[in-house]
Amino acid sequence: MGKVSKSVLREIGANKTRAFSSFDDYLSILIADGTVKSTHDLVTRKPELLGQILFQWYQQGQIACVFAQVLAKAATAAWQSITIKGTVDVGGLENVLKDAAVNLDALQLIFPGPATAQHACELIKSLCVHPSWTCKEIDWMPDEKGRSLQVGLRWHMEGSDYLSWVLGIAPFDTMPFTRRFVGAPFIALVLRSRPPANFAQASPEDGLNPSHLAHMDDMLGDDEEMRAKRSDVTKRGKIALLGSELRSTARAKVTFSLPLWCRDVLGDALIPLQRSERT
Amino acid sequence: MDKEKAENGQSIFTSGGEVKEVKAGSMSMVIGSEKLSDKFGEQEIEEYDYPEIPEGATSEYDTWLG
Repeated sequence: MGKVSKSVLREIGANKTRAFSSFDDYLSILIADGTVKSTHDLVTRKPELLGQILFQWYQQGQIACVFAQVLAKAATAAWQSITIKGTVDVGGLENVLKDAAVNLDALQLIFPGPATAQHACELIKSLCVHPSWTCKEIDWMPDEKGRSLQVGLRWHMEGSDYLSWVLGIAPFDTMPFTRRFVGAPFIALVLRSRPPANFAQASPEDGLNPSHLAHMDDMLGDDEEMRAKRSDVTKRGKIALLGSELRSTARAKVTFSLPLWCRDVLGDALIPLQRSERT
Repeated sequence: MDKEKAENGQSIFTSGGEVKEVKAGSMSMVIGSEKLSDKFGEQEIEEYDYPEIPEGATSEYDTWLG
């Protein structure tokens, strides 16, 4: 058993730096013990390891959300991974998401590939050919304005009264630090396809109630004191880890923060601000 | 499963999280993820004492759901 290096450093205050593992830090352990020979070998021959590496990454806390850290460590069967290889079959995926809506609290879909902003755009376009998926531009918070494109990917089960916000994890630079898994050879989409819980309710979008990851069972029951403590650490951690990056990019409703040129690549797959609700 | 299994009301997900590969058209889905804690060691959740939020670092709009 090896000790995982932490090569990603983040300055969070005066003389305070936090360190997290990059994908290569995990990979080097797997290469050293002979599990795989390279990233390509891992992705092609042992793709089932990608989900677990992502769960390991959550536990270190770069994601900022303490609830996610704890749930990832608990390895609850209610939060599962699927690694998707080949051309996305959105119809096939639809059945999986409907299954997850009944049987899981959350699902992470892992798409191996170059994990670039272009890859994110192609993924969005491939999903949005199905009527269950939409992608809309998300406005900046009123006191922020930056030079990137915030997009919110949504999944809506036909006939239901809710839609699922999708959280993206990717390594490219325009992603907020808390969603940026450095060196990862994949893009991950994490969502709760289950209906929303009756707490942490977000404002309806297009008449549909958002279901999001804060609706997952935090396993705290009635322990409001611990819940408040984790919420406080989550908020302070997020602000500290984002540093000078704009908070708008790291909201639950935002799936990806993309370079501005992605607007052209997304084309009609993106519902621009003037047609989406001002947020 | 596959698609048929999901359509028949049987879940493709297992409580034990066993790894299995299923096909849907040109797409291959590897469901579940192999446990790796024996390779990376048990990861303790570090209770990091982050600084208090500096003045000006947040706003009335700065909420997770906002």
